[in-house]
Amino acid sequence: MIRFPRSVAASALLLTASALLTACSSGSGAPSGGSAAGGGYPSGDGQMGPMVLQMPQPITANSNDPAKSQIRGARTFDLGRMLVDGTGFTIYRYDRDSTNPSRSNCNGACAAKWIPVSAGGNLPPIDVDQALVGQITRSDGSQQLTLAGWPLYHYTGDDEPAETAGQGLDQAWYPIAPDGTKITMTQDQWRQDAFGL
Amino acid sequence: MLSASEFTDLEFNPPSASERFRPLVRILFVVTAVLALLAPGSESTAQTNNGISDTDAVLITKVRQAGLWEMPSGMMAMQKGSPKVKDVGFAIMMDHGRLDVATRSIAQKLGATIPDQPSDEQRGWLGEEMAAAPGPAFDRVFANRLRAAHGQVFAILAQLRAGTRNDDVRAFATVGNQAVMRHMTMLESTGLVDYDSLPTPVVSTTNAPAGAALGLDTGQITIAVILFALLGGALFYMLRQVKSNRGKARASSRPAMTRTGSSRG
Repeated sequence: MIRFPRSVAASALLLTASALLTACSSGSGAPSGGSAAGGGYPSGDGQMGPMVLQMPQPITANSNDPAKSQIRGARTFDLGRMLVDGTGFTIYRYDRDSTNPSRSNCNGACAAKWIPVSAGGNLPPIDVDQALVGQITRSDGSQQLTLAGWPLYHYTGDDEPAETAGQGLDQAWYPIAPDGTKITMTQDQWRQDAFGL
Repeated sequence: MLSASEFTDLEFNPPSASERFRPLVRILFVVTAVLALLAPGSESTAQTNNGISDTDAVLITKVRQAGLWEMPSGMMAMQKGSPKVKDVGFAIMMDHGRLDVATRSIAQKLGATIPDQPSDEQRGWLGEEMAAAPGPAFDRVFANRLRAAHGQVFAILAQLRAGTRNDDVRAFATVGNQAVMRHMTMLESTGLVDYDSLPTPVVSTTNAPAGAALGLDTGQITIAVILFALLGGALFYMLRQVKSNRGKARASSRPAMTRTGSSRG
């Protein structure tokens, strides 16, 4: 057939076009991904063996960690100043406790969920007014740290540093600021305030 | 080229069944090929199964991944850094805790899957931090690695914040943007960041090129032009064959008809 070469030529053109498209579209993705990953540094060899990563641990993982008995004033990007333990986990106060005199009304099952911050640790407070720090003897005889009279607690529902999963529970539990006031602001409220909404 | 009337003419004056259908099959092949070529492009803007766009999923993954290596980095800084770096590490660890909570929350809401391990590259950076001697050597690795990584995430956050169609992702990107901006500034406050080692910004310094409104860069436009030229060429050959067939058919059945249009090759 005389016309056969023409259809071959046409097919070749189509194939070339498709090959070009495929090559170029995949090619345009690769360089941008590569440069983003490089970040201007020679990348590490990347093929490392299993690495034991030290992640911040909640009170449920190791309640005997000395840093869990340390209190620290901190500042997060959204909630501002708040009190955390030495590992960065949020410290709470309970509205149904009393401050004068300091007394905890969270015992038994409550204290299993809201674990009292034990006093007598060997790590000193950081960025906290020492004059506000005190301690009480609980009904079971253990010692609990207080701030501005408020007994202090960890929340077993928090899994990450500065998480505030316990905020507002029972309408009585709130993260406590380094001055003893409770923190009612949430991330959503902060976002709206920050941009004048 | 053939006009519509000539096509009609072709259909009503077939020389034989096979001769009639061969060109049509070829035209169909061209159309199918064109559709096949265009298909990958339309897929890239489509939604994934989970109802979340690919780019939104990238954002959530990137922020999650940032926390997975920056929280351990912050903890290391609390142990190995100089006093200033200790404080920066502590603040970054806590902020990433809060960001990670928000990340897991939005991922669950939108049905996005997120990684639970740092990338190989991030593991490499963590390895460098582990290997660095406590004090100034660690400080430099910490400040520069984290600053570079935050710069990447910041750019992604900004782009997605500007262009996402999803209300939740927009709010999430707003929060993330503030956190990452704070961290970059804090890391820079150590005075240890080597700005010359950071990637230079990629921002167009000329007027927006044609196609910018469509989100196409120059390369993509070039490809499109070449592609259409090639397809056009292919189509031209096909139609010439059709015309040639028609001519032969006429030559045998209706030789007296006057021909118009372009000459045959």
